[in-house]
Amino acid sequence: MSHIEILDQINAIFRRVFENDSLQIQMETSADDVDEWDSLNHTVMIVEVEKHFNIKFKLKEVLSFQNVGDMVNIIHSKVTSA
Amino acid sequence: MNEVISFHHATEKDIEIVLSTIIQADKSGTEYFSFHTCFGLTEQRFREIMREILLEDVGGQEWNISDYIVVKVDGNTAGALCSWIEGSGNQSSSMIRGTLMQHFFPPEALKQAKVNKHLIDELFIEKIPGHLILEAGYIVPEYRSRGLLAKLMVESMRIRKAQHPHLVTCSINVLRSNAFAIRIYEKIGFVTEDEKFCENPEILKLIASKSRVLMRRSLDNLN
Repeated sequence: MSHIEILDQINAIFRRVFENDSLQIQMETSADDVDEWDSLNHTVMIVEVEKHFNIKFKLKEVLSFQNVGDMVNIIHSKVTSA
Repeated sequence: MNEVISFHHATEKDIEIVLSTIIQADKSGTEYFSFHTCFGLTEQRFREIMREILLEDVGGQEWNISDYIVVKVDGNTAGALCSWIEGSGNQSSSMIRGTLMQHFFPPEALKQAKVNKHLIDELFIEKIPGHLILEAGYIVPEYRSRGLLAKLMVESMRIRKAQHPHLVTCSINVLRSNAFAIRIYEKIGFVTEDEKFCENPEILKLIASKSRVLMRRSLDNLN
């Protein structure tokens, strides 16, 4: 699975979790760019991403995310090494 | 006889006072415990979860032992207060707390919190990156009425300013109903900068107040 494919799939999850059908995320998108991306929605989003890709993030991995690209890179490394 | 008051950075040995501080600061002298009303957690269960979180030592938010200063009176633990520089790491304090909740809270607790999220959101006050934040202060009952909380706050600001001379502003937010705490903050120079209201009476089933106040002061003149 490519980084772009992962980004597309994450975008669908974000739209559902943040209840915003027009949301279009990029690799550089961060919580500062999305009004609905608050702490509680963040917890729901992480759970949904883990379920969708059948992976489990380590605590330190989630704490290191500065933007969507960081999440995509870690998902990519997990799904390609599985 | 004069009391000997001392301050130190909290370590794992101070975990019990830090746990009590987090719980009692949340209650703010009321019977409301927001982690029960919002997340459905008993105080005992929350304490167990919080013990695990504190031992992770994740900085930049209030659930971190090493960001607490403990005050002792004549060698006895009398209270604690958390302080950190907002946004000094990768993420905001609220996002870090969200990650910790996702990792440690039971899924059913997060599901319950989602139900009343729209009410809590109305009182949310965003913390400004680069500000020193004071949060979760508590003085053990037998050591109250002697100005210890104010001393602890000033000492925490002094310590942080000495570590980070570039710091300019200190922020604190508090429920409007906690008039006692607000008076203490005003006495040491904090002024109200903003206030958020929730007009929906349902909010009073979750927390003790319909409004939350943001107070600030400069980090100059800490003597």
